Formats: sequence, C-alpha cells, structure tokens
Amino acid sequence: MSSVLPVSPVPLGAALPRPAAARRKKAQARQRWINALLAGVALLFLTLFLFVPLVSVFVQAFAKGVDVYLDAITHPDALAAVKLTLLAAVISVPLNLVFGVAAAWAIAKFDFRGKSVLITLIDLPFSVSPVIAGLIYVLVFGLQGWLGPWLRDHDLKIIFAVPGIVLATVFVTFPFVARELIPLMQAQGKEQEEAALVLGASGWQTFWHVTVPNVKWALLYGVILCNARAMGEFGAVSVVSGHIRSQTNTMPLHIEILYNEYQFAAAFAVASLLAGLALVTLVLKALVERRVKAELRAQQAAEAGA
Amino acid sequence: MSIQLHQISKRFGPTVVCENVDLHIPAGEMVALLGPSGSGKTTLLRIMAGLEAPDAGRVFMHGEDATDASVQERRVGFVFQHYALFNHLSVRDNVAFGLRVQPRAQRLPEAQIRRRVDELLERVQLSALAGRHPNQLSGGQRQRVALARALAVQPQVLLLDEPFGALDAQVRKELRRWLRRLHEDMHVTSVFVTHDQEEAMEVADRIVVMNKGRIEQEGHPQELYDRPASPFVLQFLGDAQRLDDGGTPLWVRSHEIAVHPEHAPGRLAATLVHALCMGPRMRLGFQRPDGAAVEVELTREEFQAQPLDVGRAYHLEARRPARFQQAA
Repeated sequence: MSSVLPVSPVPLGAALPRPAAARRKKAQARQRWINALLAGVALLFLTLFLFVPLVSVFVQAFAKGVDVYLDAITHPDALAAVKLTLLAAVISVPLNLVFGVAAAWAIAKFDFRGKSVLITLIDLPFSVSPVIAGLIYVLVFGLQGWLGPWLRDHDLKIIFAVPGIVLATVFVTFPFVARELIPLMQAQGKEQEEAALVLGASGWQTFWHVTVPNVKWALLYGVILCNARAMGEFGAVSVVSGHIRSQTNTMPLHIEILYNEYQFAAAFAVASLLAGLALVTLVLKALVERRVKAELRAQQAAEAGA
Repeated sequence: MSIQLHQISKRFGPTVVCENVDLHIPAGEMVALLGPSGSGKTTLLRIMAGLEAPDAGRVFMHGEDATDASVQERRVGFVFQHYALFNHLSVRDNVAFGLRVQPRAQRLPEAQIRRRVDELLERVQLSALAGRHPNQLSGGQRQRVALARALAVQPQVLLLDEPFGALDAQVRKELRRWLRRLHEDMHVTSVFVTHDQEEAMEVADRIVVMNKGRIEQEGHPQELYDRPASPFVLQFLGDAQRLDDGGTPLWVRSHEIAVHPEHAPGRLAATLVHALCMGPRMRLGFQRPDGAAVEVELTREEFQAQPLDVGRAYHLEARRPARFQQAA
C-alpha cells in the first residue's frame, strides 16, 4: 500500500509563507518613502524660507565688492548703531537674567497670592505686538504721556533717547529666561533646597550652591535666546527710538534707513552682521539644548528612583 | 536631645492635618511615627525640623522652646524619601556640604572636614564611590549618602521621612537593619516616619501610631501588638480580621483563628473560597453567610495536617479575640 500522507510543500522549519513576507517588505518600503517625502518637504521649506534668504543676505552684501562692504560697516553711523545695539543687549540681558531667575524661583518654590497673575504677566510680551509694546512706553514716558511733564521738568529724556530703547528691549526680552527656568525648577521641586537649609545653609548660600547649579544649562539657553532677541528687536525699538541717525539707531533700524535710501549693498552689509549673529546663536543654542534636555531627563530619572 | 511637642495643630487650607498633638521623644531613642497616608506624620516631622510652622502649639528641643527657631538654628538632620542629594556635587562634596556652609568663624579647617567625611563614608560603606555623582548610584547607595550627609554636621536629632519608601523590598530590608545597627552605635535621638508596620516594629524602640492627625496609641512594639487600644491600631499592626457574631464586633489576628470541620458553641460558620500558598504559610479566604470575608493564616504544617477543600463549610474559632468599647 503506497503512502497517501500529504507532504507539505514547505519544510516545517522554513520562514513565513511567501505572501505574508512580501506584504511586510512592501509596508516597510512604503514607510521609508513616506519618511523620505516628509523629510524632503521639510528640507524644501527650510531651504526656501531660511537658507535662500540667509545666503542672499551675504551675496547682496558683497555684491558691490569687499571695499563697499567694509565702508558700510565702518561708517560712523553704522558703528554708532552697533554700539547702541550692544549697549541695549548688555543692559537688558543681565536685567532679564535677574528678573527671570527671581520670578522662576518664586513661582517654582513658593505658593503665594497673585502667582497666576505673575505667570500671565511674564507671557505678556509674547502675546503683545512689539509695536504696541513700544507704544506703551511712548504713552507713559512721552511728552504727552503720563510722566511726560515730570520728565521734562527734570530734564530727563526717555522716549527718542537711549533709555527708551533699553526699556523697550527689556520688555520684549523679558519672558525668555523665566520661561526656560520655570518648568525645570518646578520639576526639581523644593527638596534639595530644604535639604540645604536643614544642613545649615543660609538662603543665599542655598540659592548659589543648590538652586543655580541645578539650572545652569537652562539658564544659559535662556540667555542665548534673550540676547538674540535683544539684538534683533525692531518693532518696539522703532516706535520709541525717533530714528535719530548716529544717536538713537540700533542695527535693525540703521539697516531699515539704509534700505529706504536705496543703499542696498550697505544695508545688506550691516544685515550680514546680524545674520552672522543669528548663525552663532543657532550653533550655541544647539550645543546647549542637548545639555538642557539632559538636565531635565536627569531630574525625571531622579524622581523615578533608581 | 529630647523633643517635646505640645498641642501641635496644623491645617492646610480646609484640611486639618494635625490636631492637638502631644508627643514626647526621650533623648537617644529611635521612635517611629506609623500611620496611613494623610495621618499627619510627615507634617509632624517637618514641624520638628522647622520646615513647617505649626498653626498652634509649641515645639521644645532639649527643654528649650524652639518653636520660633529657624531651620538652621535647630541643628537637626533630615533624610528625605527621595534622597534630595545635590546632583551637581560628588558624593564627597554632598557629605561635606553642611560642614562647608558654616560661617567662617565656626567652620572647620578643610583637612578636618575631609577627615570627617572620609570617616562617615567608611561608616556607610561608600568610600569606594566617594568621587561619583548621585546619578551614578543606586537608590540604596543614594540613601546612604543622604544619611552620611545628615550625620556630618553632628545633629542632635535625626529625622527620617519614609527613608526606604523609594527602594526595592530587598534593599529596604537590608537598610532597615543597617539603620538599626547605626542607631545602636551612635544613639542619636531619631524619629522616622513610615507606613510599613514591619519596618516600625523592626527598627523602632517605640512606635507612635497616628490616624487622621491624632495619636491613636504609643508604646513599645510588643505592647502595641499585644494590647492595642483601638481597632485601628490592631488593624494597622498585623492582619486583623473582624468577625460579627451578633454582639460588638470581634477582632482577631489572621493567624490566631483555628479552622474546625465541626460546629461547637462560639465557632462561626464560613465557606472556604480560596487557598493561597505564600511560602511558609497558607492564606485562606473564607466567606461568612452574611457575605463578609475572613482571612485566616495557617502554617504549611498545620494545613498539611488538616487539608481543607475549597467550597466546603467550616467553623472558625477565634483564639485570642479582642472586643473594643467603641463600635469599630
């Protein structure tokens, strides 16, 4: 009697039957295409809206040759604008550093009445148009403003002078440091500070040796962002500045004046300085960002326990 | 140094966390504040440390009124449940922190600080890890660093807030014993907060059982176990089962119930619902006619001597029952 047992066409130890394996490979290939397409769209967008403008700034800056470039950036008015920009940054960044740390510390470590009001106020500069921000200062400190007569009597100029520019810059850059610090400090809680106090540290020692070191990377990140905005601010500063050449022009304003006078190469030359600053900022930001993420991750790991 | 709490009350918003608490902790003793979450034990500990201020009442340390003393002035050591180590400092710098922040006039010379830190690291068996940072340590190691850090400033009182709560069961047991031995060596007045009755019984000289902001009972572990003052204390220290036989409820511990196949006066009928093997013991779940569940614990030997079948009716006898005046 011959065997009538059916014999399987595929040996028992083989891989999946072919139709299922092929389907899976197709799905993987499709996924790869989708990823490539999305990445491609993102890259195209970045190229059009970031790379091309950035590159064209430098191309236009050197369009009339290196001499014209150097003349433009060493022109007295340009130098005055650079100095004013630096001054505004040098004052507003440390001020906002102090404000930001103090506000974040108060919000994260304490409970007090008006806490939510403070949090809202911190976000205010983000939600308000920079032009409105500038207008606020004109309404308060301008000649027709609330404090106008008082200021005139004491021969103090705020609007259309350097102090006004600094104030406007401080306003628009206020949130950066605070917003970086608040979530991190909230995640860190008060325990380390309490531990330091119990060990005998004074409030100040606790702040310097425990609170600040724990947020150093987020602090640096906030400072970098704050500085970038301080140097590049246009709208608010434009309203309060008065555009007095070589006196109350920051770099962005000076660029606008040059452009309006059809001095395109000169305008782009000065703009290339700001573009250069933007690139440096981006690089620093990327370097520090990794550390900031690590800082937050370490905190979450510590909470989960080892 | 002894601690005395006199009529301490504290509330957070509408919640009363502590109510007229009187507590005396003799110098050199290890006392456990035992209770469920929300019983006020951590708040009481923090009031002792000065991290919270009581709404009413006074705190005395070594006989002196310390209620208005600042945290720094109280010279207590505090160990947190989640260690609260300084992440950016090494183990050595963590332990030295308290010694380095002292005002210049009182600060020890650096060499002496280093010596004391090394001694402490030796004592907590972490000398090899002195250069590491907290994120490179396990939970048990971190807690030992926290302990060394608290002891570095030679506090008169050591306060521990659920010190082993965040650790694995095995590590918890080891550290418990280690803490007990440390206390026997150093005899610093210590108060620790826990919700684990086994921990309290193993480590503490005296236990204070708290419930809803009040002290239910305090005394030596044996006393609390054998002579509980209320159903709450009985339930908290050991598996207590409640049996209703018509009169005031009867309370008995799981392992003090005998299971009989036949009825006799005083025995209560129940059906065996499940029998679980828990290592050296058997845990039996019974159900009474009124639906109430009763858990009985037997040793394996007892169970093997008289095997029981799930689904059959048996009769339970309470060996050392307790009845309390108030209704449970």
